[in-house]
Amino acid sequence: MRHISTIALREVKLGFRNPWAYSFMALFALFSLALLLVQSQQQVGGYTSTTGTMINLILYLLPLMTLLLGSFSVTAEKEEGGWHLLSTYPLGTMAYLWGKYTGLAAVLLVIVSIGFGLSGVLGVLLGKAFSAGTFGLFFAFSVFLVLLFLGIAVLAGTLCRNRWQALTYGVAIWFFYILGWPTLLIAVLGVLPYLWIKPVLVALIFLNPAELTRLMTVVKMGGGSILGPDYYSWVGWIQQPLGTALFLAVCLVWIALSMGIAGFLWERGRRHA
Amino acid sequence: MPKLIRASRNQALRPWRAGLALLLALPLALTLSPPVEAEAGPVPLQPLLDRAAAGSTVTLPAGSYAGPAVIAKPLTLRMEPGGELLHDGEEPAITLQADGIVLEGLTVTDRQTDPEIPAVLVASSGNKLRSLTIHTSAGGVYLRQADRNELTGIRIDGPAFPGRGNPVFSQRGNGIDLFESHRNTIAGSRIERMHDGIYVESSDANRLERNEVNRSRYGYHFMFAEGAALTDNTGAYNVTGAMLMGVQDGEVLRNRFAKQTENVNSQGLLLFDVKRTVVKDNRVEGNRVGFYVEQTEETEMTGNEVARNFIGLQLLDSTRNTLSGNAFVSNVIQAQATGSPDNRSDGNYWDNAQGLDRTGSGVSDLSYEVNPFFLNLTKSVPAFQVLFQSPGMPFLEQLFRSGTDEWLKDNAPLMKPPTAVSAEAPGNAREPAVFWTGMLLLAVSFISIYQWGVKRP
Repeated sequence: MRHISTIALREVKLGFRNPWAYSFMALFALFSLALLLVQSQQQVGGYTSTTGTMINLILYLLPLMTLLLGSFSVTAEKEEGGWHLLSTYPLGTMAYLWGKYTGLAAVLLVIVSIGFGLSGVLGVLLGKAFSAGTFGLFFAFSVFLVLLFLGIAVLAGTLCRNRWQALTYGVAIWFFYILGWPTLLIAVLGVLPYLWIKPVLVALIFLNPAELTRLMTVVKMGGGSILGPDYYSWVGWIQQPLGTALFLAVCLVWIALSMGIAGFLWERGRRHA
Repeated sequence: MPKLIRASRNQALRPWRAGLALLLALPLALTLSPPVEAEAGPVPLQPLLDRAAAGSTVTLPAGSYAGPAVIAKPLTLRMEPGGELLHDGEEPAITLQADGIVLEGLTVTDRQTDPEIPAVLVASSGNKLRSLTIHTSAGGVYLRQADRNELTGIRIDGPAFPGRGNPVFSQRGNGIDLFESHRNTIAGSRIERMHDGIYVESSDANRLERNEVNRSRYGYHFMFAEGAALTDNTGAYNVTGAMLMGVQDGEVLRNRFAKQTENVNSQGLLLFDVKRTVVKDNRVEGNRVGFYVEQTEETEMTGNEVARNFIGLQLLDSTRNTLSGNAFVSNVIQAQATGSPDNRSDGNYWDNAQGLDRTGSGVSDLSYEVNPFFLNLTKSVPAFQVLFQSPGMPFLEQLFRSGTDEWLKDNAPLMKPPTAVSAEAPGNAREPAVFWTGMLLLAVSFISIYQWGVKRP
C-alpha cells in the first residue's frame, strides 16, 4: 500500500509538471464553457440538444485525453529510464502500475474538476446554469469515463515501446470506441440473423466503456424511452438502484481486467528482460 | 371491441313533445327534499326522479344518494355542494335516455371496475352536462349514438397509481368516450389517470376545447372522426398527448402537449392516416417525439413550436403536406423523415441550422436537410435505436449523403423564430448548489496543483 501511494504521489508531481496536462485542461475548460454559453436556455437540465451535445463533446475529448496522457506516462517510464531505476528497488509490478493509475487518475480528475468548476460557477454568474442533478450526472459521467479509459491507457502504455507508438495506439483505440463504433456495429451485425442482433448488440455495449457510460447517463437523465420498445425492460431495470450497482460492478471489472492484463504483460516483460 | 349500446331508441322523445312537456312543466319546477330517514344511508335516486314531472328541476341537497338511476324524461337534475351519488352495480350510475336533460353539479363515486361501463351513460341528444365530478376506475362519461350534447367542466379522476413502475392503463376506462355520436362539445374538462382522456370513435364534427388530460394513456384520441376539432387543450405526462387516426378535415389548434417521455412509445401529437387537417400554433415540449406523422396527406402544419423533445418531428410515408413557419428548438434530434417526398417544408426555424443571410431577408440562403439514414436504419432493425446520438453516428451519416433529392429539405430556413418562442425552460439559473460545488471543485483543484505542481519542497 505504501508503495502504491509513493508511486502515486510521484505520478501526481510528474503530472502537474507536464505541459500536456495543462493544454488538455485548457482545452476541456474552454469547450465545456463555450458549449454552456452557446445555448439559449436559462437552465440546462434533462435530455435536450444541449445536454446531448455536451455528452458528445465529453465523449470526443475525455477518452482521447485520458488515453494519451495515460499511455504517454507509462511509455515515458520505459523511454526515460524511470522504470529501470525503480525496478532496482523491491517494488512489485502491480503496486507500481496501481500507483501510476491512482496518480494519473488524480491528475485527470483535477483537469475534469477545473472544467466543471468553471462551467458551474460561471454558468450561475452568467445566468445559464446547469440544474443541480444534471451537473452531478455530468460530473459522474466524466469521472467514470476517465477511470475506465485510464485502465485501457495503462494497458496500451504497457504494450507500446515508445510515445510514438502509444500515440498511434491511443488514437486507434479512440477511433474504434468513439467514432467508428456505430459503423462497425452496423456493418458486422448486418451479417447476423435478425434475432441475434439485439442480444449481440447489448453484449457489445458492455465491451465499449464509452457506450456503456453514455447510455447509463442518458437513461439516468430521463432519456431512456428514446431507445424504444426493444429496450423497455432494460431501461426500467437500469433506472433502479440495482442498475447503478450493476454499472459500478461492470466498471470495476473493466478496470481490474485491463490493469490485470497490463500487470501480466509487464511482469512477463520484466522476467524476459 | 364490445361497445355499450343499450339505449333503446324508441324511448327518445320526439323533439316537439319534449318541447311541449318542458313548457308545461316550467312553472312547476320544484325542489325535492330527500325524505328524512331514520337510518343514515344513501337515499335511492331513482324514486326521486320517478316522482318528478318532465321538465321540472330536481335539486338534491347535500347528502349521499344511491344509484343506479335512469332518466327517461327531460328534466334538470342539480346537486348542491356536499352531495354525492354512490354506485356499486354493474350498470351505469346514471343513464340519460331522454333528450334535453340537464345534469349539473353532480358528484359521482362509482365503485364498479369494468372499463366498458361508465359512471354516466348518455344515450340521447341535446343534453347539457355541467360541473360533474366523477371518481371511478371504470369509465367516466360515455356517449352512445348521442348528438349535440354539451359537456362542460367535467372532472374525472381515476384512482392513484400503485407505487412505482409503469402504470397499467388497460384496466381503466376512458374519461369521456364517444361512439357514433356527432356534433358534441366537450369543454373546460379535466381528466386524470384514466385510459384515454377523451376518446372519439366513428363520431364526426365533435369539438374539444380547453380541456386538460394528465397521466393517462392517450390524452385525446380520435379514431375515424371527420371534422374533429381539438383546440386550446393541454396534456402532460400521458403516454401520448393526442392521437388522430383516420381523421379528415379536422383542426388541431393552439394545444399544448408536454413531458410525454416516460413511455417508450410516447409522443406529443401523433397523426396517422390523417387528411386535409390543419395543425396550427400548437406547442409540443419535452416529449419523447414531438410530432409523429405517418401516412398523412394534404395536412397543414404551421406555426407550431417544437421544443426540447428527444426527437422533434418524425415524418414517415407522408406526402403533399405543408410544413412551414414552425420553430424547432433544442430538440436532441430536430427531425427525421423517410419516404416523404413532395412536402412543402420551407420557411421553418431550426435553431441548430447554419444560417447565412446575404440579402437581409430574414431567410437563410443555405438549405436545411434532414438525413433519413438513422430513421431508415432503426425502421429495419429497431435494436439499433440504442445508437441514438452515439458520437460516431454523425460521422457515419455524413458518409451516406447520396440521393438527397428525396430528403425532407427546408430551402428557406428562417434566421429567427417566427413567433416569440417561449423557449425558456422552467427553472431558473440560480442554482446555489451548482455554484458552491463548482467553487469547491476549483478550490480543491488549484490547491492540488499548487501543492504538487508548483510548490518546491
